[in-house]
Amino acid sequence: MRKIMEFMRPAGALGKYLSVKAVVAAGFMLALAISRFNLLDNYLQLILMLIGINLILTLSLNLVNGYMGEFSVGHAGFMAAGAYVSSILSVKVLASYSPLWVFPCAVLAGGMAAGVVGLAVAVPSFKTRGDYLAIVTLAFSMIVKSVIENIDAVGGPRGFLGMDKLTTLPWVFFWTIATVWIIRNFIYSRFGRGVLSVREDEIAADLTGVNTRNVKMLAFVVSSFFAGIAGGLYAHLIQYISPGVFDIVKSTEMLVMVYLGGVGSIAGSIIGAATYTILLEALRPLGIWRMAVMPLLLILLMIFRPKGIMGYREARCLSPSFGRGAGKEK
Amino acid sequence: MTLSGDLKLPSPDAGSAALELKDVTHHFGGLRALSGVNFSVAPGELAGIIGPNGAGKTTVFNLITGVYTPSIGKIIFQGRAIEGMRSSEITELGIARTFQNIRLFKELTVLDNVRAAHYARMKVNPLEALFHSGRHRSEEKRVTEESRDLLDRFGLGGSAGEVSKNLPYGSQRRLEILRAAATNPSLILLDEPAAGMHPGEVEQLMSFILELKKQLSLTVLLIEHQMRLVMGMCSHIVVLDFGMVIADGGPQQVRADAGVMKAYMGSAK
Amino acid sequence: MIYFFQQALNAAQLGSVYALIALGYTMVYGVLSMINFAHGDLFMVGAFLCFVGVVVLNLSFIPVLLMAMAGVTMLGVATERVAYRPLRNAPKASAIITSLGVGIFLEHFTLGLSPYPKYIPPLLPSFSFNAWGVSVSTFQLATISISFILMLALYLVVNKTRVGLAMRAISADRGIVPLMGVPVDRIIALTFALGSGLGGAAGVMYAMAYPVIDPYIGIIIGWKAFISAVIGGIGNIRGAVLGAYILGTVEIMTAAFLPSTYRDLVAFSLLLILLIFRPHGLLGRVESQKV
Repeated sequence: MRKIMEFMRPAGALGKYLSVKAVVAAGFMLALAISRFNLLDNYLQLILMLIGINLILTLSLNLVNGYMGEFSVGHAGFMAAGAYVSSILSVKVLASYSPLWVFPCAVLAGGMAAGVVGLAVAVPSFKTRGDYLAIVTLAFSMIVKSVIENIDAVGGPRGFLGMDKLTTLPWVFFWTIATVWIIRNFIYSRFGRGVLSVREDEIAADLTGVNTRNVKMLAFVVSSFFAGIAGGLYAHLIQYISPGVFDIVKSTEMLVMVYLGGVGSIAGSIIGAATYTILLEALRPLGIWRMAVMPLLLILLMIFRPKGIMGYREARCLSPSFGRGAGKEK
Repeated sequence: MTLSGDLKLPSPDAGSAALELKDVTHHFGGLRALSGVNFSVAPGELAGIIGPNGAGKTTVFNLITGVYTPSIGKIIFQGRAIEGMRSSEITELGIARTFQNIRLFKELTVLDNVRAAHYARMKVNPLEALFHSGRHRSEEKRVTEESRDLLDRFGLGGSAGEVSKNLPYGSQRRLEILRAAATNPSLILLDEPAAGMHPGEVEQLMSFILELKKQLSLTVLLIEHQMRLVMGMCSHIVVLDFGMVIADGGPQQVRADAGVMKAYMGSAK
Repeated sequence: MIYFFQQALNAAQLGSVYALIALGYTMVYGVLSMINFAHGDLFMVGAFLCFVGVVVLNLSFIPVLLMAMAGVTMLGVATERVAYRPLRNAPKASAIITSLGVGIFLEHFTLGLSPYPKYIPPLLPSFSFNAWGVSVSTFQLATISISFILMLALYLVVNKTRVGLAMRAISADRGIVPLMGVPVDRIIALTFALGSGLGGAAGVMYAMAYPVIDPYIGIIIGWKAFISAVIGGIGNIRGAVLGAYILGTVEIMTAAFLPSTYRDLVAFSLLLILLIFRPHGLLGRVESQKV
């Protein structure tokens, strides 16, 4: 009986796989059409793109905070690295070449630069956890910020201008889907189980043969890579970046999105990022009081639903079809 | 029947002992936990460590599995000195263990707890994992099948999809032992596996351990307070008191030993 | 040589401000095992209350100091009651995020009320006198001496009174203390009150030295004080004071030899290096896990 079910499952997976691919392809076409023919006005396109960028940030942070159970409070630093490196490339180094391939290269380079910083952050995580690691990640992001402020060539505290608006809806869609796909693959792999076992019980994980050092390094690098990608996309959308953008408030926003949607859940991150971005836009009429109201909502959320909307649960369509995925399925 | 995976090649001078502790002394700051501990476990043996609370039994396990490095002394596993190695490396060499307080990956399913144990033996590199390459897929399939198989053989197949924290206590204990067994060890250390169990459960545990040992060709070293289990299963018993070995031999010998009586009862009678 | 002593005086002044704030962080961490990221913003509120006292109410130094301390104390206790107490038993991440939220709220609320930086006229007659070639200003004297008095008072409370004993007991083992008949909630509220009060005083001290204030000084100064507490070993009162003066010294010495924009960079790098080699700070306790 079980053998028959095993046989049928791959076919089921294939069927499901095809339909997910179809949806993604359709979505991409839609994004392309909206962008090319201006089917939505610029403001709505901007919101959609910000949702996508926030989603990439949320997923990247969720990998470290949600799935690995660490407490990174300085992810804005990775975003800053990605934003600045990609901007320097597109504005200063590769300015004379065609934006069609300059943009993806710049964004990728930004991601890789952020990944390198992530590697550096991973090292202290071998020996420290909890509060102390939170402080270390914070210190790192402040250092990144300080370093940028001291480099006059990129404008220092005054900021960096001059990026072309290369970020478009299809690009954001592409990167968002790529992030969801890769992170989901990571979770449902040997390393994902490694990450989860580190969260649950690091000592037991070590004694079960999990190389916790490698796992932590990988998680930090993948996480910071995508935060850097988001930074690059952001820089070429808003066309102005400064160290002040990537401060503790930015890191806090990312935390809000992760905890709002639900830690340890990809579907949760999607919900959290979308909800937060839309909410923030909806509060725009409040002007300067917007950022006073937002944290109040956050506090209420923490008091009444500390695990977020999805808790640890995951949407069914995201997990592979054989075996059961990480945590319970919805 | 053994699990698939690498054959563990013992080093050239494996000798006749699977595990050997040589003059192991360990301090925690000013406190001496172990003094000059010497004993060995033969391959295929089912050995037990007993002794009053605080005698240093769990410390021995912690030293063997690399949680601490002994202040003095050597620990030799299959001819290789392992003191000072990292825990995950020691596990890869073939020593697995369970804990006094069950340390499962609580929020993970039963199946995932067991699959996690295959980490070291899965031949998938990060890029393959991130892109779910063919190699990743085939390894995942293999690991899932082996894990399900192990669970089925020892009675937990039906709960494979349950979140492990929801299992009854006895099943959680069994799962923890199976997870350790899934790392393909040659030596398995069980720290008070019968803790908190009533006599009926202890009986079941004993047959489970014996069956597991037989099917996976394991050497077993356990710490226990329940005398029935120790005397009933172990062919070799080591008695610790105040960090020192006060008896080392077969069950009859240890039972009659005056020193052991004194340690447990307060006087030799 | 004279230059060195001059800088040492500046370091003592800066260190005193950091110390007053760092004590708040460390005491709260001690009783609640929680980093109150909003504490730096309480200090900022203290500075703004100082502004209100001087410019709006035209009070003199001592009343302003008392007003700032009282105001921030009430705010701190209120925050604990409303935002932190419901999360007493929630996972730590929730409490930390909430404190971040409180901090951002305070910053932007103040920003809403005061969009432009404010200038505070001197609270004390401003002159300096010469002591063996070193120039000492009244502000420095006031800051260092009042900080010393406050820290001494705190020391006496923590070590010589019953409530202080209760605080130390809760730091050591929160679970068992209620069983001893100690009103945990009230002691925790008192801890917040003491920490906040010191933070409020720090606000006034800061305003004396840097008369232009804006809502973001909580982030800048508050984080430095937080680093001080961590350097000394968070949860350890003596550590907080030690860390504060160390950081003050490092910063002043850095500013003496490098461009001022390097101050933050050096401070955070120092923190990082220390945490890598001594993760629990200079005087912090290493808590080992039982396996």
